[in-house]
Amino acid sequence: MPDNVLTEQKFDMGRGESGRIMRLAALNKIVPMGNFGGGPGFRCLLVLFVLHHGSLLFRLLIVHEDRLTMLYQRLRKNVAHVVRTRRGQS
Amino acid sequence: MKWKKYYSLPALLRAGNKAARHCPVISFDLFDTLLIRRIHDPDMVKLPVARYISELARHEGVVCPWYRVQEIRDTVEQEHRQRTGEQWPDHEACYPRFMGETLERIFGSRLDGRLLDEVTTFELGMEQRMLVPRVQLIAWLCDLKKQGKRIFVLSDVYLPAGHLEELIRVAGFLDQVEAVVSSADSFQAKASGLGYDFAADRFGLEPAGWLHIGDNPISDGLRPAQKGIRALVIRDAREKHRKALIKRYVNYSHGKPFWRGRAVQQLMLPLEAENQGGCSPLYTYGYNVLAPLLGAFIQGIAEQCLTNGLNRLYFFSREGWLLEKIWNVVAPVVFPLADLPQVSYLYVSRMALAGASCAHQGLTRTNADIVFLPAGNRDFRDVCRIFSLDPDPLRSLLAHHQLALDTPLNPGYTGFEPQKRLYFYGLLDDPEFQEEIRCQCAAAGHALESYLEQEDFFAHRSVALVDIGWLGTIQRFLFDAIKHRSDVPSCQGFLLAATRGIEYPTTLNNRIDGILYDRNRFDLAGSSILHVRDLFEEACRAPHPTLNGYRLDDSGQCRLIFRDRQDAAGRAEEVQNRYYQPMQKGILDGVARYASAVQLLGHSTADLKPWLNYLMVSRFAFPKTREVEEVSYRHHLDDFHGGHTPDQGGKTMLDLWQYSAGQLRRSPFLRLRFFLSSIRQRLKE
Repeated sequence: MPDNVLTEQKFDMGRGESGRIMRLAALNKIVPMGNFGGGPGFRCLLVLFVLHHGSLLFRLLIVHEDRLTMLYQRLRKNVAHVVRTRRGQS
Repeated sequence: MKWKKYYSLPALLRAGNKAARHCPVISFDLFDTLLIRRIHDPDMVKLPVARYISELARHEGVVCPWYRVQEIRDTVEQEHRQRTGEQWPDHEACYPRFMGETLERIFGSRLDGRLLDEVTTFELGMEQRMLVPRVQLIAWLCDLKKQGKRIFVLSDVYLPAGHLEELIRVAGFLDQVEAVVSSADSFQAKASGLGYDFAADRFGLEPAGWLHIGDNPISDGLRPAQKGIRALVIRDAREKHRKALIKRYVNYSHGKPFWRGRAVQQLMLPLEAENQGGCSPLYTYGYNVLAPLLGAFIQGIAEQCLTNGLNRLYFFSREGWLLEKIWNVVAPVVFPLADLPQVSYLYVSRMALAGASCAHQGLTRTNADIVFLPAGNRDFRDVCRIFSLDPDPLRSLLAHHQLALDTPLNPGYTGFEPQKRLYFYGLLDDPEFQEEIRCQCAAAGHALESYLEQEDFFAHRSVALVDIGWLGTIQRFLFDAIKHRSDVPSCQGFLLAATRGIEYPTTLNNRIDGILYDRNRFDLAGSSILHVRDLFEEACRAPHPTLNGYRLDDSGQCRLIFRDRQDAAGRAEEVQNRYYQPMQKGILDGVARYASAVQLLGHSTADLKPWLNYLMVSRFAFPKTREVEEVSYRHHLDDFHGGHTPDQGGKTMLDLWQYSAGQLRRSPFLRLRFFLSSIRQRLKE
């Protein structure tokens, strides 16, 4: 029997669940498969697929975690400011 | 003193081993260092606690929804932190104090002295279920202890040391630790550095020979370094990766119902030592696929019982054996304060109940039709076999209706004539025939009633009955056998899936509902479960043999008669039971984590249905060939299905899961073809 682990390195359940969801979601666009509660959504699927397969990304970026966090917070602040300004204008 | 960050556990352990040579004192941070959390946000543990307090309040006649409880808790905790901040540099809070005040504000004069203990026990239990010991680090801690080092645990958290000790005890290394220091007791935290001074004063520790390991660059890195303590900080990329994923699954599940179940399954994933290699594919399948489906099934039953006020629940043998175990794991965790029904296991089977069902009403046309649903049943001998009838006294009556014992009554056999089926119905309308049937079945009916009395079945006004599926034949036969009694309870049946191939005689006192699939509700995805009915039966099956009937002994007590296991079919069933043992273990391990995850996220069965639908479609209607190979059962015993082979069975269509691995690999569109065919069938229904 193959050496199975329940949580694989990609923190996915079983064998490549994220890919399986993608395939079934694509098929669901052609053949009605039932109630999937609105489906997984393309953006969510993409982000999760990249995250599951992005362990290398984490290993590379964690060294720069502090700077990335600062950059992220600054970006979020700027975006929030832009949104507030636009709302104020409208 | 310098401090350094490490981005993987092995790197930290290498550096730690080197540094520890010169340090007789080693201290560890607790959360996210020695113990990791399954969930990305520790505050999420507070939500089930808020729901728990809200439910407690409801029992006391206080209306306070869970979000209001959470608001009050946050406010009180904030006030406590502000007050502490006036005296100390750290804005710390102490759980027993702020939770006590929270409860006072919610319950007012109705506050019971034991309430705080009850809530604390619940919150610690919830924390425990979300914490996983980090094996490598704890193994190193034990090594250090063996070397004679003094080991301390320092934590900045609102839980006092006593509570942390309980968490460490459950994690299994409390005996290795000299003392646990929490900022909740002294209000001197590591964040300001005072926590280190406090520990040094209290335990007489010298900074020069002290090594601290933690995960926070400020509290566990900078501050101890400022005090002259060596410090190593772990910033684990794998942990970041894991938490980024669970965070997104949980966040997406707020907007997209599809991800709710996936978030539950992400929380179910085993971590650290729980995730050991060498699991058999059957265990993995049980854990990843069947556990969430069966967990949701049991959760759905509990929801229905609580809604409808059902306080007695019987699990039908033999599938109920595993379902009862799942209930015992899931229901108390998901519904901690609910008045759950009392459960027990009822020894029943179609073969054992069929005869008893004729004791008062005789043999009905519908019950006779059920016999000829399986292709293996051919003639009146099969009717006699199933209903435990002696055919000899019936020969003359059969002959009177132009029938013989071996006249084919199933269209699948050569010699079948529709006219003969009409003669058979004529026989069923014959009062003399029915009288003989009632006479032959009277003993079986009496014995069954006696058994049910022993099981307190008639002591309740309404009972819930749980079976795996599919037509509800067991409940049908059971109710037919007892419906003449004045004390018959209202029977609410819950099936994993209700196919209703033969219309169930639903009345106010006798009804069935399919939880994951019910033909009465149009559910395309749920109907995928029909591909693997035997898989579910075998996966949930009890290790004991099937029941053949009931018999009253000399003292009037009912004795159960089980099928003999010495024949080939019985031995094959034992082989099958052994083969599926890892799957049953996987299911039981999986449902325990399912219960914790559902409790944390607060999802109902309806919330999880989109994901369950996906699981059913992807695993049963579109299985991977390897899954079919690994998971298919080896033997399936069903005494109800006769031993005949249909003569006109050439056209019998194989089900998807009966195809060989080669055929499944060679025909890429085979699954799609089956799925389209099932859509057509559902639309025709």
